[in-house]
Amino acid sequence: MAKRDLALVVAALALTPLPLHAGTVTGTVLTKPTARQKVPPRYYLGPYRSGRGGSAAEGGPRDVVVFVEGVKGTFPAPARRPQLVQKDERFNPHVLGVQTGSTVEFPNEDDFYHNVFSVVSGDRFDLGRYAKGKSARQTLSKPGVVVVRCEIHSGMKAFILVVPNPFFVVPGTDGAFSIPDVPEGTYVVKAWHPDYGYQERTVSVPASGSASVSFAF
Amino acid sequence: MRLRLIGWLVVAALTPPGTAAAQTAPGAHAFFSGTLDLAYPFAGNGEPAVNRLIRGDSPFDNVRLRLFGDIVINPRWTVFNQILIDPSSREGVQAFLRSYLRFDVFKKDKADLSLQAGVVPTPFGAYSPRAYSDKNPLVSDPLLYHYFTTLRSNQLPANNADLIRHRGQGQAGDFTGFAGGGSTTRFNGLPMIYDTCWDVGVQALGSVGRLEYVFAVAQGTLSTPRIFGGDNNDGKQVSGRLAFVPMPGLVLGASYARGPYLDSALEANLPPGTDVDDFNQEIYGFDLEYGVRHFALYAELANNRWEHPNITDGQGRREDLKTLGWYVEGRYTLAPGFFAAVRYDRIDFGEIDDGTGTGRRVPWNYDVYLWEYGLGYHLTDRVIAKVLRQDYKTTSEPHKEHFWAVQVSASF
Repeated sequence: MAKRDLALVVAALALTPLPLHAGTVTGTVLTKPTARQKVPPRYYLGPYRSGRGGSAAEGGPRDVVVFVEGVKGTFPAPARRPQLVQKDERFNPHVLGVQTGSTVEFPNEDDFYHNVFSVVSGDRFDLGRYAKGKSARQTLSKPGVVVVRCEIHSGMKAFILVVPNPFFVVPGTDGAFSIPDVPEGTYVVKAWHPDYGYQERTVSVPASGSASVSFAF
Repeated sequence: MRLRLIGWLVVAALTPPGTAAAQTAPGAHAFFSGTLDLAYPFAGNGEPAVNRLIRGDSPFDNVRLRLFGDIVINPRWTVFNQILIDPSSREGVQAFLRSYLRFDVFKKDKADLSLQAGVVPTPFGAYSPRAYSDKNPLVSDPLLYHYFTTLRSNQLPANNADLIRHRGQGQAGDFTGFAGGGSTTRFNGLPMIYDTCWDVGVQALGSVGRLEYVFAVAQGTLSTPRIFGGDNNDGKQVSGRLAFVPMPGLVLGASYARGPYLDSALEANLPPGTDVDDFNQEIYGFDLEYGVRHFALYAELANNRWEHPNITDGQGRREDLKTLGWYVEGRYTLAPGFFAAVRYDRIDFGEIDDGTGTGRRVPWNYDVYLWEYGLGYHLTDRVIAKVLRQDYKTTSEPHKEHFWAVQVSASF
C-alpha cells in the first residue's frame, strides 16, 4: 500500500466515529434462478473492436446491494477504490455498491477500446476511449443509482448503487450477507436489484449481537 | 406483411424493455429491442430531398420505428431480424425487413469464422453498422450509400446525349424518358451503394490475427440489392472486405465488389452479341476508423464504375460511367453526454463525351456536396436529442439547399 493510501486510511479511521454499541445485520437474499443472457452482437466487428460476446454473466444474489438507511454520523470517503473491470466486453461486477465520495476505477482488460460513460444520475461522466492495461477513475458524490455503459459496445451495462454510509454489502453467491458495526438502533434495511427495484425491512440492531433480515426477489 | 407487422408490435409491446430475453425453446432465447426516431426539419430554403430513399422515405421523416428480434437458437446458431417502419414516408407506410442466419463455425484465440445467409449486411465499407440513429451522431446517411444517379438498371439511355439530358433527375424524383428501351415506369436512379436495402446472399466472415475479413456472394449488386424472389438477372455479385487493425482504435479497411446490374428484361435492347451479364458494376473502396480519448474519426472512399452498352467515348468504343464518392466524419465529446459531430460528403462524376460530335467531355451527372454538422445530447442513456444543419450543393445551375433539423432518438 502506498504511503499516501496508508495516510488516508489512518485519517479515515481517526475521523470515523467508533460505535460504542454496535451490532451486525445478517441475512439472506433470494433471487429468481435466471441467468442473464447476453445480447449477441448484431454485426461482426472483429476481435479487436468487439470480443464477439463472451459468456453470459451470472445473475443471482450478486446483483443485489443491501444497505442500512438512516445511520447518523459523518462518514468520510473510503480510501479504497472499488473496481468495475471491463473484460470480455462486459463489466465485472454487474452490480457494485459504493459509499458516497468513493472513487471507482474502470480498468480495461480487453484487447480493444472501451469508453465508459454515464448520463443517468447527477454524476454524469464520460471517461473517453482507452486501451488494454489502462484505467480511468470517477468519483461518485451523489447517492443513487449510476447506470454505466460503454459508448462503443452498446451491450455493456453495469449499475453502481451509491449509498451515504459504509453500512452496505453485496451478498455472496449463496445469498448470505453480513453488515458489521452498525450502531445500536432501529433502521430501515433496503435491498436493491437493478431489475426489481427496492425492498425494505425494518430491523432493530442490538448493542451487541446480530439482527437478521431476509429478502426475496 | 400487415399481419407480420402487427405480430412484431404485439411481441415488442409485451416484452420488457431493453435486452429482455424470452425463452422460446429449450436453450433458445429471443431478444427484442428497437429505436424510435422523431425528427423535424425546419428553417431552410428547401425540403431535404437529397435524403430521399427509394420508397420516398427519409431519415428526416417525422416518425421512424426500428424493431429488432434476435433469436439465439444455441451458442452457434443465431437468427437476426430487424424491421424498419416509416409511417410518415411520402408514399405511405413503409416497412423494410432484414433477416439473416449466422452460424459460428469456430472461434479460437487467434482466428474465427462465421457463416451468414439471408438478407445480409452490406459487405462493403464500414458504414452499415453505424447506420442507426443511436450510432449515427448525425441523421443522414453518407451520399455514397444512398444518392441516386441518373443511371437505371431497367431502362437504357440511347446514347451519351440521352443520359446527359437527364442529369440531376435521379435524386430529384422518380423519372423516366430514356430512349434506349426498357421499363417505362418512373423510378429512381441507381446509387453507388444502397445500404437501406440489403441483398440476399451468403457471407463468410471472421478474423485471422489482426486481419478481419468478409467474403460474400449475392443476388444483386451494391447498387441493385435484390430482396427475396426478386433477382433481376442470372449473374451474382462477388464482394469482400479486408481490414487491418494495427493498434486498438485504428482500423484500415479495403473493399471490392463486382457483379452484373442490368435487368434481364433489357436483353432485347442490348447490342447484338451481348447480354446483361456483360455489364457489371465494379467498385473498390477504402475505409478508416480512428478513435482516441473523446474523439472518433471515420472516413471512406469508393471508386465505382458501371459498364454500359450505349455509352461511348466518341470513337464508338464503350466507355464506363464512373463515380468517386467519399466522406470524412468526426465526433467529439464536449462534456459527458454532450457531443459535436460533422461530416463532409461528396460524389464526383466521371466525364464522358457529350455526344454532340465536338469531342467535349462533361460529367455524366452533377457532382454533389454535402455538409452536415450539429450537436447531440443524451437526455438519458437511452434518449439522444440532436440538432443539426445540412448544407447541400450540386454543380447544376447554382443549386444550394440548407435546412436545420432536430431529431430525438429513443432506444428501448
